[in-house]
Amino acid sequence: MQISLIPAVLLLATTALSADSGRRAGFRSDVIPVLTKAGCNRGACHAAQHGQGGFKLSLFGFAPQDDYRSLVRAHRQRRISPIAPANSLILKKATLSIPHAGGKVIEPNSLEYSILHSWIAAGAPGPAADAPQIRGLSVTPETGTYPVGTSLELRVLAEFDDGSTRDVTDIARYDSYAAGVVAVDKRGQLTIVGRGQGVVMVRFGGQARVAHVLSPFREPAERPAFAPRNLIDQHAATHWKRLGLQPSDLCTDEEFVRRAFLDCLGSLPSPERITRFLAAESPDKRAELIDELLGLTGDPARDVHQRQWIAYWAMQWGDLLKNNRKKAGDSGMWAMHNWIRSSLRQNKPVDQFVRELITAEGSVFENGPVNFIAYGPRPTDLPVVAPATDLAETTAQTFLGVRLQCARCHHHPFEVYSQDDYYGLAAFFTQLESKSTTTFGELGFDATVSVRGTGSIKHPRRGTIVPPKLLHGQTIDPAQHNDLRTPLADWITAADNPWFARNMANRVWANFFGVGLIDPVDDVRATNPPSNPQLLDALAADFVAHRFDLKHLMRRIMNSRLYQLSSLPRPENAEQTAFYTHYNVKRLPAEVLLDAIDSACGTREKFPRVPLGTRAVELPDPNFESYFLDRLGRPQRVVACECERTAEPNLAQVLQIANGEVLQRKLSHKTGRLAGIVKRELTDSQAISELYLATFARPPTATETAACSDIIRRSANRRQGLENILWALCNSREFLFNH
Amino acid sequence: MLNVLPQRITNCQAAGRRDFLLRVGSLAGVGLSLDQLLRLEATAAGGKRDVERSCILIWTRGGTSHHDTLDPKPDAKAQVRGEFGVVDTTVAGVPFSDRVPGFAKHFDKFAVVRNLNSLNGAHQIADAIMMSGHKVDPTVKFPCYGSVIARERGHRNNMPAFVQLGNDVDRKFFGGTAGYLGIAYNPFEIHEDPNDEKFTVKDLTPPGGVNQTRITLRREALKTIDTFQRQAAKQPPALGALDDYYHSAFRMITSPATQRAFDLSREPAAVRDAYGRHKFGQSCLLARRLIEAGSRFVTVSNADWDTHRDNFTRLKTLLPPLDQAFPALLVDLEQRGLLDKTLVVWLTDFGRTPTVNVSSGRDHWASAGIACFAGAGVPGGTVVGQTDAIGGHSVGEENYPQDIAATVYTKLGIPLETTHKIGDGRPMRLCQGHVIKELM
Repeated sequence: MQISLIPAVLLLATTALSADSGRRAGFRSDVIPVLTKAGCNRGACHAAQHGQGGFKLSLFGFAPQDDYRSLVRAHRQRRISPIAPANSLILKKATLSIPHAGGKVIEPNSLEYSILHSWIAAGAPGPAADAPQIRGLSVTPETGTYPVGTSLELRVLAEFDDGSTRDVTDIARYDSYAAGVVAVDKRGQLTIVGRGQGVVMVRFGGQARVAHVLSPFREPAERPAFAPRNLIDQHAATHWKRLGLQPSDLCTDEEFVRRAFLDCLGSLPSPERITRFLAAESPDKRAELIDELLGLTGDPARDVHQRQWIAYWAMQWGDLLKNNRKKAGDSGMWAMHNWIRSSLRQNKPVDQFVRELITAEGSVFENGPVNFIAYGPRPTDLPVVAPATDLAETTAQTFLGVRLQCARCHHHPFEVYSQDDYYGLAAFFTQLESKSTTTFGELGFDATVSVRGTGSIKHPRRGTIVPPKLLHGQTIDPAQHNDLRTPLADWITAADNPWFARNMANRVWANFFGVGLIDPVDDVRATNPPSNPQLLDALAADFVAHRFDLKHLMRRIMNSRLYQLSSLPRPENAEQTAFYTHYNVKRLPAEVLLDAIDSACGTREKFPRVPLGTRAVELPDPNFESYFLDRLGRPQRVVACECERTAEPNLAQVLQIANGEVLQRKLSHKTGRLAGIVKRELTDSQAISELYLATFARPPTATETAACSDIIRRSANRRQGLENILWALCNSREFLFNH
Repeated sequence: MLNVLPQRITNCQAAGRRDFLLRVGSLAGVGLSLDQLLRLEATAAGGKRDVERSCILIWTRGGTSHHDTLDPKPDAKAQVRGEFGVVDTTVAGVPFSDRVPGFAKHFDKFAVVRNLNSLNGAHQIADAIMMSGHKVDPTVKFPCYGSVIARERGHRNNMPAFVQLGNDVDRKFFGGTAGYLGIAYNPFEIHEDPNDEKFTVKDLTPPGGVNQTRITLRREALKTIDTFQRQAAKQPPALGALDDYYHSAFRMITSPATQRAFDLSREPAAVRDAYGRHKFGQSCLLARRLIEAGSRFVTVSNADWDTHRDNFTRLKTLLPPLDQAFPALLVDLEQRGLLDKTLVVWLTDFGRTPTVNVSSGRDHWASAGIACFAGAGVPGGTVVGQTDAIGGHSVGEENYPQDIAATVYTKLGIPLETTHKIGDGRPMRLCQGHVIKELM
C-alpha cells in the first residue's frame, strides 16, 4: 500500500515543482525549508553546538553553504546517494528505516520526502549564488474573526528580489502561539479550537510572518455595561465588544485605597488615611487621592507621599538598569541610585532620562548614568567601558523591549534581525574609552568615560567592519558625528520611534495591571503582538503628547475605570488575564511585602549598613543580606530581563511567611502595634478593627469580629491571641496579594 | 503563558563523536545508543528503580588535594610526594594516602575518578561549574544537579526535595542554585550545626514560643479570616496556587515524620558516634535521615580545603572527619538497604599542585583532580583513569565536569536531552557531557 503510493506522490511533487515555471528543487529554496520544517536544524537537534551524531547543521538553516558541505560533501558524501536516491542516508535516517535517535521526522510518502528525493536525483545541486533572494512573505488571510470549530487554509506566498513570487504553502513551517485558540497542521490548515485571540507563525527561508485569529467569547452584539472615562476605557470597551466580553464591576473604595497605595507607592496606607478616605464624601475622591499619591495637588500639606513614590520607582528603575555594586562598585552603585532618585524627584521626562543614560560621559562617581556605560567585572576592578555588544543588547531590550541576543551568533529565528542589525547597533558604542582618575584618591577606583572618536566592530563571520545602523533603519556616517551615541539617542527617544514610547508605557502599565499589553514586556516580536494594539498605540501617543511625563501616564492609568475594576472576575472570565475584564491580582513583591509586614506589625526591619528605619524598597541594590527577601524572590539584578523578579509562590516562601522567625519576631515585638494595642487598653473589637485596617485596609465585618474574638478567647493569653489574629491576617491572601 | 517554541521536543540523543564510534563499534546491531542502553540498564529489574534514586553530594569547598588523599604518588620525589605515606586498599596495587585509612578500608564500596580535568582553577567559579556541569556564562545561570532533580521529580512525603546542609557553597557565580529553573528549586538551606545540642531547622521547626497547639489554632484562624478562601470558586487561579502551598507547608510543619527526620536525637548513640561527633559527621547522618524520609538530593557542604599554606598540618585536622564520616555513610546506607537507591558523590573545586610550594602548601591545579562515586550501582573498588608520575595530568582519557553531570543525571534517571525553556524563551539542553562508563 505504502509502496504503491510513492510514485504517485513523486509525480505530484514533480508536477508541483515543474508547474511552478519549470523550477527544480533548489537547495536554498526547497531543501533547507524541508529540513527546517522537519525540525532537523533546531538547537536541540542537529543545530546543537556540536551537532548530533556527527552531523551538524546551522540553526534554522541560516548558513546554507555550511549546511551544503555538511549534507553533501562531509564524510565522503556518505549522506546522499545520487545514483540510488532512496538509499541516501539522510532519507533512511529521517524516515527511520534505519535507527535515528531523533525518531521519524519525515514520512516516506510525503511531499518533504519527494522534494529531498528529487533534489538528490538531480545530483544534489548546491546553493546557487545567483538564485533570487527571498525578500518577504505574505500570508492570507492575515487577520480574521472566526467561531470555534472553523477550519480554514492559509496561503503563503514568498516574494523574491527579482520580483517573482512563489506559493510555498506546502513547505513553509507553521507554529501556533495560542494552542488553546488555534491549531495548525503541517500544511497550514487552521482549526479554531477555543475562544480568545492568538497568532500562528509562518516561517520560510529566514522570514517569519504571523496570521492573527480572533474567536469571540460570545455574540459581539452584546453591549458591555461600562461607561468609558478616558482613552484607555474607550479602547478596552471596543476590544471587549469585538471579543464578546463583559467586565466586572468597579472595585469598592476599600479595595481602591489599598490597591492605589501599593501600585503607586509600594506601601500600605495607614489606618488613619484609610478611615479619612472612606469617610470623604467628594464624588471625585479617587481622582483626588491619585493626585495626592503622585504629588500633583500643588498643596504641600497634601503632597506628602513623594518620598515613598521616589523610593518605589527608584527600585523599579534600579531593577531595570541592573544597578548593583557587584559590577558598579559601592560608589558607582550609589551614584546611579542617587541620580535615579533625583531624576524622579524632578519627574524628569523619560526620554531625557534615557538620553542621559545612553550618552553618559564623565566620572562613574560623579555622574550616576555613566555606570550604565562602564562597570568592572568585579567590584574591586576599575570600571571600564562595557563591551559594545552588551551595551547594544541592553539598550535594545531595556528601552525598546526588543531582544537582540539571538542575532549575536545567528539570524534571529523568528524575527527579521540579522547579525548586521546586531553589530550595526553595537557599532554606536565602539568609540568610547575609559581612563582611571585619582579624583577620589588613588584607591578610589574612579574612572571616567569619554569619546575617543575612533573605533569600529567587525562582523564575526565576514570579518568586515559593520557601520553603525539603526534597527530597521538607516546607516549613520561616523564622520558626521562627534559622539555616535547622539544620533542613536535621538532616534531612540524620537516621538515617532516605533518601540520606545510603547515599550516605556507598557512597562508602567504592566506594573499597575500585572500583565503587559505586550507580555513579557521586554519581548516585542511579531509573534508576540499586543493583546490590544489600538490601546497600546493610544497610550503611547498620549505619553508622547505629554512629553514622556511619567506622572501623567500613571494618573491616566489610575483614573481609568479599567484600573478601578473589581478583582473578582465574572465567572466566564476567571481563566483569562490578558483582556483586563477584571483587575489581575498580584502577589506583593518581596520588598513591598516585607515593608507591609513591618507596617502591619508596627516594627522596623534592620538591614546591615543602613540606618534603622530604611525600608526594603529603599535599599539601593540587592546586596543587603536578607534571607526573607531572597526567599521571596528579590531580583539579583544580574540579567537584563524582567523575568528576574519572581512573584510565583513556592513552598519555601510559604514556609518562611507561615513558620519563619521574621514574622514571629515582629508579632511578639515589645514596642510594635500589638504592644501599643495592649498599652492603650483597646477592647477586642477595637483591636480587631485596627488590625484589619492595618492589613486588609478595611474594617472587619461583624462576623469577622466575632470569629476573631473567639480565637483570642481560646488562646493561651490575650497577647498571644492578638498575635494569632495578626499572624492569620498576614498569611491571608487578602494581605499577600494586591487585589 | 508565553510559548516561544513548540512544546514537543523529539528524542535527540547526546551523541558526540565518541559515543558515535562506540555505537558503531558495539551497539549498532541492536540499534541502541549508549544512552539508551544505560537507561535500559537503570530501569531494568526494578522497573522504575532510577526514578526512586536519591543523591547525597559531599562538597569540600576550596579544593581538596588529590595527592594527599586518593591519588598519592609514593614514588615521586619528596616535593611532589609530600609528607604523607600510603596505605593499601581493598584493591591490590591501588594505594591511598595513609591519612585516609577509612577510605582505604572501604574502597570496595565506592569508585574514584582520577582523570578529572575541572577546566577551571578559580574558586567561586568552581562551585558553579562542578555542581552544574556547565561553564559559567554571564547570560545563562545554569541550574545545579539538586535543583534539576527537585524540578523533575518534585517533593515527596512532606520533605523538601533539595536540601543543602551548611553554608559552604559559594554563590558568587550562582553555584549550587536553581539558576534559570527559578527560585522555587533553590535548595532548602540549613546553616545550623547538626552537632549542636540545640540544633533546630529554620522555617520547618516552629519559631520560639510557637507550639503545635498554637499552630493548630493559627491554622483555624487563617481559615476563618482568609475570606478569599471562602469565595474560592469565584477567585482567579493565582490565588488557588498559594492555597496548595499552604496545605503542603502545614503538612510539613505539623507532620511528625518530617519533624522526626530532622531530629538527630532519635539516632542511637552508637550510630552518631560512628559518623563522628563533629559538624561534618552529623551532617552526613542528617543527610541520610533526610533521604530516608523522602528528600531527593542533599548537599553536605564543608569548608577550608584551600591549603595554600601548611597543607599537611591542616590536612591532619581536615581529613579525619571526612575519613570517618564518608565510609560510615556508605556502610550505614548499605546496612539499611539504601545504597542501591542512593547515589553518593564527593566533589571539590579542583586538584592541587603536584609540587609543594615554599609555604608547605599546594596551590590550585585544574588539570588533574579526583571525584568519588558510590551507591546506585556504581561498582566498588573502581579506579577511573590515571594521572602521570607526578599527578599533574591525565594519561589517556580525561573526564570533565560535564561528564560528572552526565553520570549524576543518568544514575538518577534524568535524560540528558531534557530541555528547559529559559527566561527569554530559548530552549536549553540539560547536559552535553558523556556518561563515565566505568561507573555504570
